[in-house]
Amino acid sequence: MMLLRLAVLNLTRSLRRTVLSMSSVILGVAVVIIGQGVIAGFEDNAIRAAVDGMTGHVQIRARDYPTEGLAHPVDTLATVDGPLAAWLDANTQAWTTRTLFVGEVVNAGDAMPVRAIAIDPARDSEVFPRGSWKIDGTEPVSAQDGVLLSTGVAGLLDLKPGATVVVQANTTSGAKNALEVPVSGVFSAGTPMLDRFGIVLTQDLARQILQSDERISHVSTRLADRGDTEAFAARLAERIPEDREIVTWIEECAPVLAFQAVRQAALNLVVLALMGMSATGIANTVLMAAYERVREIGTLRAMGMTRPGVIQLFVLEGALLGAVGGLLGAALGSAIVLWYEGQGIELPLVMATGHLPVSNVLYLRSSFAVTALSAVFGLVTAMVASFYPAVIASRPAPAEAVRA
Amino acid sequence: MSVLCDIKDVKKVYGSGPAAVQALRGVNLTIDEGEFTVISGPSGSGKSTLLNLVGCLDVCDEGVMTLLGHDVKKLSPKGLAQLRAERIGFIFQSFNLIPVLTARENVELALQLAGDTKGDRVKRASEALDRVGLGDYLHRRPNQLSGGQQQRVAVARALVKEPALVVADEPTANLDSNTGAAVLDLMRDMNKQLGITFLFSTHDPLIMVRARRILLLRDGQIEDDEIKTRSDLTREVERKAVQEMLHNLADY
Repeated sequence: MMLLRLAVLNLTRSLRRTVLSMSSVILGVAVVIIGQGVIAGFEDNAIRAAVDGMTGHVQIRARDYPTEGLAHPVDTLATVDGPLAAWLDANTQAWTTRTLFVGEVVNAGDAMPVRAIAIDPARDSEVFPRGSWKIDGTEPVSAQDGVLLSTGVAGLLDLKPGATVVVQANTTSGAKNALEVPVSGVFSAGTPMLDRFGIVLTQDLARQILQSDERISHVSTRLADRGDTEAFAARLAERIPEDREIVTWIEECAPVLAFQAVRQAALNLVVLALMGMSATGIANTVLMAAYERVREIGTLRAMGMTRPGVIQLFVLEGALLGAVGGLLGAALGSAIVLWYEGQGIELPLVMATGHLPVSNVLYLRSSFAVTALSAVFGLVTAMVASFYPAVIASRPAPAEAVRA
Repeated sequence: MSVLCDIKDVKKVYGSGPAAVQALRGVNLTIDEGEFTVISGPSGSGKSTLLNLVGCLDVCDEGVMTLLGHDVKKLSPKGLAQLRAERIGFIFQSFNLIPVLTARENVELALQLAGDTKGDRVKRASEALDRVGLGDYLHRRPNQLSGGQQQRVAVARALVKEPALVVADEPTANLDSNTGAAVLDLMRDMNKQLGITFLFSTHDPLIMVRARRILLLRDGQIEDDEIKTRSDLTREVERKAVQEMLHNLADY
């Protein structure tokens, strides 16, 4: 206990120097925690955008369905037959049908291309929860309700709920068709690929525009446990026709998740640089302390402290510096992550036209394991950094050191 | 009285080649338990080197040195550290207290380093300080104490573990004569009461007056080794002090 007290008191000798060195540990540990929170948040964001926005857990669509940009062909629509519907009822938490098509919304001579999502109003929200949606107006439940416009479409065409617009698209036979419909509301789903070009309408209204029958383009499912996705997809694959394919949220998120590896590598480099700086600061602090206290070290050795004992004392000082810095850094990093885990960070709509599923609100993700490991990382860095100066401190012979 | 330290033909050289300095050139010396001995001599005569060897802070290059029954040359660094921790106390010219610790903690640290696992370390440290007249200064840090008080703490620190030998390197050099005399009287009392052997290096006549044995070291060799009777001690010491002064003047 006396050695611990001595180590603590030694750190208070040059408080400013100690605080500066500790700051680098605090910063390093906080950056690790925040960085990991951002990366986990991005992963969660991509999964949330894919699962809750477009795919669900497992989706059935036309084989070789295009995956880039605004491409949603309606020449390969299909129906869900009775046995498949019954099987889906029995094996999913919820499932729904959707028809995606590309159309145009026209308002007083202004027109813009849109991604139209025709939904089954009775089932859709069971698979695609509306928790993050903000709707000004109402979501359509029948053809007469018209369309729900995304904030991007409504903003560009200067439309508000209650206005009237013309929705035009190619029918399944390739002819142009247009309908004048009311705007039931304006929505923001928090997903750029929906919020910039999306409109939502009922399948009844879509059939009038596309002049299609009961056929749909997609079937999306929601499972009780996301972890069952691959097993469920394998079983489902045996029950679908040749011209259909299965897509899971895992495949849909793959490009974003692959990008995560790049982010992680970049973060690792930043962490390495920060910890290198922390280690240098701590090594400098301990080394200066060693040079300033040569006579004291000599006295301690004269009193019977061994060389390993001196090394232990200085490493203990470094460890204390790292432990306190690590804890403060963990507290700071966790506080920031927890704050943005609740509040979210608004992201620019950079990938809206692409296929990448991303949400425009990034919620950081906290992890106790990451926090604890980061704090331990700070402690270990400090201990390693103080070892060499500790060896230097223990080097002078006691006879010389006591007279220094 | 049994032998505490036996030194036979001990040599010590610092450096190597043309720059080598022969600090001790074959010293022979026996110190008995309970002695109150002074090593005197001009600067560079080897006083500190001899003190370092006896205090196990250093090891001789040649010769044999037996301390407390141990052949010091055969001890490992850990063994030397253990001997210092348990059996030897040190008092330094500049007190060498740990500035961040209180007087009591400085003394307690000596017990801890000696491996004292008894639960009454605090009590023993307080008693040691009380014995040197600092019972009311237990919680003061060195910078809150005068030079004399700091040296008393150092004395308490050296004595608290009841060592066989206390090595004191010019302990009065940084003290005024009155304070120095008081500190010396204290050490003399401890020597008498506890039978602890004291070995000093000094130029200070105050110490020489109180010493029972004075070793005069010159050019790395013992030039004179006299054990004085009480009746002629004062006169002899005064003569030596004058001699010493003249030597120093000549050196100067």
